[in-house]
Amino acid sequence: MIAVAAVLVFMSWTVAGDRLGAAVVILMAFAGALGLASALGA
Amino acid sequence: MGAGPTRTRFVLALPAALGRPSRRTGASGSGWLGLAATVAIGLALFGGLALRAGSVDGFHYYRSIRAGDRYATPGQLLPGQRAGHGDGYDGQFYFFIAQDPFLRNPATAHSLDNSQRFRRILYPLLAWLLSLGNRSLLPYLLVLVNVLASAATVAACAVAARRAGRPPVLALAVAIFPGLWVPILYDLTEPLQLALVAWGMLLEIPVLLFLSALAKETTAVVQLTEMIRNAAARSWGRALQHGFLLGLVVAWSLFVLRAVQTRQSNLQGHLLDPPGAPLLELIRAASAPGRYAFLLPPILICALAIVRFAGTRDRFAAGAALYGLIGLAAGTDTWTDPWAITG
Repeated sequence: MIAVAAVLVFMSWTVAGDRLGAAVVILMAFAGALGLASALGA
Repeated sequence: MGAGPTRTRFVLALPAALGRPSRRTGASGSGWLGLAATVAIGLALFGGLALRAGSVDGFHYYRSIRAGDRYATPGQLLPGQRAGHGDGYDGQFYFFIAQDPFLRNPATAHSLDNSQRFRRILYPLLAWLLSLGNRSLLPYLLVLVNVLASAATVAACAVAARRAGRPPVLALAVAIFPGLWVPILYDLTEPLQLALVAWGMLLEIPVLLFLSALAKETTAVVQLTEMIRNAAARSWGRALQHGFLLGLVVAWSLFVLRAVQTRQSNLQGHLLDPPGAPLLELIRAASAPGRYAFLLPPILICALAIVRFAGTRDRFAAGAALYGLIGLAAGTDTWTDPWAITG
């Protein structure tokens, strides 16, 4: 549901370089690492 | 709007998007290499996950469809494909539609849980077109379309990073985000929606946002913000294009609501069912704290997308903020599934 918001924030952050945008990118990476670990470990 | 001008604009915009030199990485050659490598890694990741998903059923890819006997009828299943007991999962509806996208067989509409499945026509329609009417190819094509669509989203993000003078490899943070690869495993429509919205916003092509909304109607949120943003900037022509295409999406949705007789039919899906569903799920997660790891990141992403709009008001941020709001308004059905919340 939220992938569109996340991708748009990423694109915005590449230009703006703001801290909140960076936090979203870090959260995406964290959720991704967690999700991959969960999926591949299952 | 004719296809000619649209195609011309796309052809003109693509080289400009791809070819802008990197400010931080210096030589454009290294940027190109980084971009190509990033997309290749993304493609390898999505392709590998798709192969892993296929390996569980001898590469028939029936498991990804997840047909359930509550909706599936024997005539809609392929030889050797069995419906599991119960509801199945969302991908089965796109598989049914891809076999009969013009609803010539009344059983097709009857097998859909909600008319919103048919509203999201683009994904099954594309699979049907690629299959050339050979329905035995559909399980593979539904996966292939999603693998390529997710790779296209990574490519758009890598190009966006390169245009801004950042390393394209940063787009790998997007590539591993579950919202890009989980839908591949379940034959969901989101990868196509996401690829079209990403490229539509990057190249500023309204028709791509319109097509994205035909993959999943929630892109209308981005169409709306683009219409308002262009109107505020007195770019009336572009604002009218977005408004017209948004009107087409609304008209299509209303047409499907009235004309397609499915088991249920509504416009709002699971929104506000109940209000505050993600917060309620956070409270419930207290009994199983491990769920916080899956619940908190998407909730925080939605909240941050909204909050950062106060200080960052570019065209991407506006769509992200409103979409984040819609995400927080999603119902329990969405937030109780750790995969669906990122889908």
